[in-house]
Amino acid sequence: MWNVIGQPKAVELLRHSLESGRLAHAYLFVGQPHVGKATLAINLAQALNCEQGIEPCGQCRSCLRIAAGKHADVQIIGRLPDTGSGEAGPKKEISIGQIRELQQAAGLRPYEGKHRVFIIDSAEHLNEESANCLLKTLEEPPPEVLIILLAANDARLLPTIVSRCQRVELLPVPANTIEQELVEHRQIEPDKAKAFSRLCRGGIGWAISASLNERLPQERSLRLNELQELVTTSLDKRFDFATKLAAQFNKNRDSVEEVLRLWLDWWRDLLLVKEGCAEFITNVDQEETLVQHSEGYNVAEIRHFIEAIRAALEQLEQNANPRLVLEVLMLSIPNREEERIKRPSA
Amino acid sequence: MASQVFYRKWRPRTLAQVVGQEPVTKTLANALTTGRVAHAYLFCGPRGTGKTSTGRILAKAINCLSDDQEKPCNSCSMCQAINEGRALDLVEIDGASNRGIDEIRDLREKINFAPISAKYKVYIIDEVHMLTEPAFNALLKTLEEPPPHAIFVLATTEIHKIPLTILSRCQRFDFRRLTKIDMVGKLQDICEHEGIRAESQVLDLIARAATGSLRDAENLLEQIFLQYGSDFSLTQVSEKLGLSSDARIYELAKHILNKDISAGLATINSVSSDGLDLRQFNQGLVEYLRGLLMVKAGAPDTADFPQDVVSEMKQLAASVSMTDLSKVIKLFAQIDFRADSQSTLSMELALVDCSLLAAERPQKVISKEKAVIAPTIDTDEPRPDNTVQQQEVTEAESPASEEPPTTKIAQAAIPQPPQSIEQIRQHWGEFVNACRGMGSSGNLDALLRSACEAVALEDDTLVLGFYWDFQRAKVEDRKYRHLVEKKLQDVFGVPYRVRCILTPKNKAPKTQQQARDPLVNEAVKMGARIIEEEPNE
Amino acid sequence: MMKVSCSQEDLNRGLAVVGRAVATRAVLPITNNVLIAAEGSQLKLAATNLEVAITCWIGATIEEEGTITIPARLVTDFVNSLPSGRIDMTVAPRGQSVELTCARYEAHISGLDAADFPPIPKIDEGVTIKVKSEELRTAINQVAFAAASEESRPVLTGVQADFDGDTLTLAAADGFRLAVRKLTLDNVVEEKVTVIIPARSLAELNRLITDQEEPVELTINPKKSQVIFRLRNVEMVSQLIQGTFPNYDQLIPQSYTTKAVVNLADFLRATRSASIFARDGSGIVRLQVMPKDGKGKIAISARAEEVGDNVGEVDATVEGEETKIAFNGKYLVDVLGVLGEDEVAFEATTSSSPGVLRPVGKDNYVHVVMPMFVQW
Repeated sequence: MWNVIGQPKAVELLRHSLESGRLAHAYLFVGQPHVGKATLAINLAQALNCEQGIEPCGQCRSCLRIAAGKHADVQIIGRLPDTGSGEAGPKKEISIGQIRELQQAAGLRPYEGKHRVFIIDSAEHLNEESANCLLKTLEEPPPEVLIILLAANDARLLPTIVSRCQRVELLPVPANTIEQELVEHRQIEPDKAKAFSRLCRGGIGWAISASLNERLPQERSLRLNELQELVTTSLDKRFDFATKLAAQFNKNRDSVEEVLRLWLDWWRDLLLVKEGCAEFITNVDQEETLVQHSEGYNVAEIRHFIEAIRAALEQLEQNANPRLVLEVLMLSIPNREEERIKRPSA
Repeated sequence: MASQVFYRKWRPRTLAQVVGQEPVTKTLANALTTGRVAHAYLFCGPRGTGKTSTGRILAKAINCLSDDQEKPCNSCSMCQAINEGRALDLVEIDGASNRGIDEIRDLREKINFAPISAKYKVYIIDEVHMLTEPAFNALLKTLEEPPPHAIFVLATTEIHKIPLTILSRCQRFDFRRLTKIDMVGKLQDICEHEGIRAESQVLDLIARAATGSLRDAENLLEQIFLQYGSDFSLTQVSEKLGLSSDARIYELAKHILNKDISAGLATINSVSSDGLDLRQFNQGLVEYLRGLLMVKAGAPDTADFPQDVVSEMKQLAASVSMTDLSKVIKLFAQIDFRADSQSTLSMELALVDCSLLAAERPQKVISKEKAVIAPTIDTDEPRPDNTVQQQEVTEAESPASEEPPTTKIAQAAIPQPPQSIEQIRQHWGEFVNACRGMGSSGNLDALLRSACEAVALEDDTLVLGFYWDFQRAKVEDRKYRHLVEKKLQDVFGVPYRVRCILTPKNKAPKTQQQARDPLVNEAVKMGARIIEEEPNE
Repeated sequence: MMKVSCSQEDLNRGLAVVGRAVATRAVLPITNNVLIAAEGSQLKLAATNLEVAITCWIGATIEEEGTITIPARLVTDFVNSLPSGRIDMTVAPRGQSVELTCARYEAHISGLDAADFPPIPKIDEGVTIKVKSEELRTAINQVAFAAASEESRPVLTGVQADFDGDTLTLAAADGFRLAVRKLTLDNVVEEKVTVIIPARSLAELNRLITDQEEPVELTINPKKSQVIFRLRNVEMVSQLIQGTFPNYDQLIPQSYTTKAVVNLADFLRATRSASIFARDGSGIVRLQVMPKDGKGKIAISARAEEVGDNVGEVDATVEGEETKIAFNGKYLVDVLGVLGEDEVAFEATTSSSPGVLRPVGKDNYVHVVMPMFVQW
């Protein structure tokens, strides 16, 4: 069974290629986070190694071991944990050393299965060296080797990488499909299922995790509250927050990026609401608050703050001083109308 | 996994099979028949144009054991060994991951070994521009005195990053982007052999999407073949390529020009939720808007749209001013989809910016600048060669940069004279382009583009920060400095003097301006001067 | 559940043997562990880094059968530190940790479920041969060093093994040299088989067979993806390398214009002393072969720029023309060091064609080494 949900086209393409013996040696799965790229890659690895046939049966020893991440011939290569930083955050990049190991392993015949499958998760994190190092193997790997790259945004990959892969696009999963999956196959209460299926904006993985793990939705509301407080709080408090976030960045840069992405979504929502397009917002459960908040700004203010968030994200990626970047971002938060009335000096 | 993908299966094996690079292949074939083979070649050109393949063919041809006139024969043991990737005397090195001095030193030692079975030992170094400076210097020594049995093929997509000292020791061959005709020809060949029935219109579309890279085209063809089988329609192909959004392009253009933001947002979101490629969609939109500009300027023929579309365009164009239209084009053309993965946002913002255009005073360019419209300053000047850049944006449709409206708009592009380093940076790219053809080898622009950035403006002195000392020394030299100063005056209208300093290379020099702390930027605007910059960790 | 006792010496030795196959980097974290299985009357230890898997059996008293995996470094170092004597190991029912006691020492080591351990390949069918261990060890020594250490082409990091009739031919090449060794098997293979074994695995095998006298049994699985070496109480499985090996027959020169027979020890000494001067100059050692009335000599020299030069001479029986040829000194030393006969025959044609070295009196080994380009 191909158990990736809501990707009939991609599954059909792979199944057809398998059946006709025309599977390529390198694939690039493109799609937003949590849309099912890794699941599909695991499925394909199962199909190639399944003891039953060319469908991933999901039951045989091989399929089970692959699903559990224990199969010796199926490797997922991503950023290594950054042991230097003290917290669980991953390193910034996929290193050339990891690619060299891949190449060495690719030269050997499979250990327990039929094919060696290398899944490179978040291929955007390949740096210039490691990406270039991969090119030769990606173009002409040994037989019995399949390389699958996963990426949310293939514009960030080297064009030379993209042009060596078969590109498979994974579209956002329709909310109804997600809702149905949650209710029918995962016994989630209909209310919750409905909320999560909308909130995840097609990233079914998030909806599933959120319905299994209370922490995820809680975290989200915590962050949103934080954000809503910040816009009305004093500059001192905002700077304190920037300091806190900067410290967090030094331990786990991804978590800070997530916070800023959430902000980006929020302010985009404000913009959409302001323009009368509430139907496309991300934070569907917050529509009322959004409408209320959007009253306090004009379009240009929202627009400029979105740009400030995007600039901050880019600067952080380029290793700018995180505290400075975040403080500047705090300075750029526009004041809401009501605040201006309350504090005319500002 | 029985079969090989198209781009491997149909890799050219003889010079004659290399498509669309006649100047290169003819010269090489000549050199082979007359026995004048050089010791070092530099193959440069975009990806997927045949550099590495030609390198392999060259390796076969000079080592081919057959008596045929036509070499390589692809049947002798040497040719076969190379084709099967097991020849010991063809060494392919990837310059990006072997970029250090140690790797090149190692190569230098090994180069002295005689070839084990071939006449010549051939080293193909791909992505050679990635070598470090010391590594280039080490390589240089080998290129100066190569042993007689060694032949180097250096391949790169970024010729401007190759030191001149290396360039001057290689025979240089420029590989061009493939023309649509060449590409379609090759695709037709493949289709015939693979039993694929495809109309030439379909192949045209694929070729267009591949932007000159044959590997991209072959790959696309295979993906379409796998998805739709051996008989596919134009609609299916445009769907696969994310192009089947013509109606919505018109729709969005209309909303933009009518400043109907909410309808525009709806269009963008519906395109995205249908899974169409927003990059492609945006590209189509920019092309369409550009067409409007042409139509409005009274040159509908240059726009290359069907007649019925043109009449529809005329209607639409009537409602908008030339200035607004050009501003709108700029907003959408400069979208960089690399910036965020949630890709509707970039287009949504551009759309909102359109509505803000009218409301605000002269709009500060908010996001990354990317010159779209030929930024000619003075129409008397020889026009800086911007056609290449423009083609990239508008997808090489037609050479329309000669249109008068373009020039008119562009005149407003550079505020004169610039007051701050920020303004200079904003137009730095245009300045650099204007330097094309200058300098002793005509590549001053490449030097400036890759080797330095504008660091600060001190009264009338522009400080340029160089990443490497030898390039700093070069521009610091009076001859070059004078050239740069003269061009600065031409472009910015101010007689700047130039001072060159060394500066650590920023990871992404192009966005340096953005990477710099905005606080500092603000301070600079207020007249502060940057004395020292610490690289941020 | 597991309850077993064995001697500290045996366990220590067993852990040292399998320890060579414990993964250092962990794609699969569990490969940092060693598998301990109490089966029948023996304690089985196993480790794999997914390239090489080593299994070792030691004598033990088994009260309860069972299996577990525990961190290899930890248990190896701990057992090594213990006094000699009896060690008891217990795993509680459904437990995931081992209690280990020895004299007045006691340790608890948490482990991981053995079911998650990569299966140690069992190879029961396929082409099987037997070969004398001493013979195999020498052959590996004579060949494995000529394989590439790291290479963009993985095949060159391996040793090609051709099984044909009662002959096994091992060959390795790194692009600058080639070593080919034939050895006679104790049995005849029914079908011709060719595989490429990682040179590293063979080096590992050589460590394992140092003190083994019985013949080594070797089986290649039908898929030709793995080879197993069966030794006394130890089994080693190696993954095989995929790809096509260079056609090395074509690389061995069929003729020569100069042949010199030299005393091996003299040749090696002179090459070593020249190599000292060659350190700075790409390792270049120059050979000048000079015939004289059916006898002759070889002058072996090297220069270090701005430092000095040296020359050493050895007597030789030279046939054919005088010739000059330069090599990388290390490569010559490598091959002269493993020939193991009294005399060596050196054959050359031109200064840019390959040099050939063969032990005199044996026709089972040939070594081809590429000359270097020098200005004489």
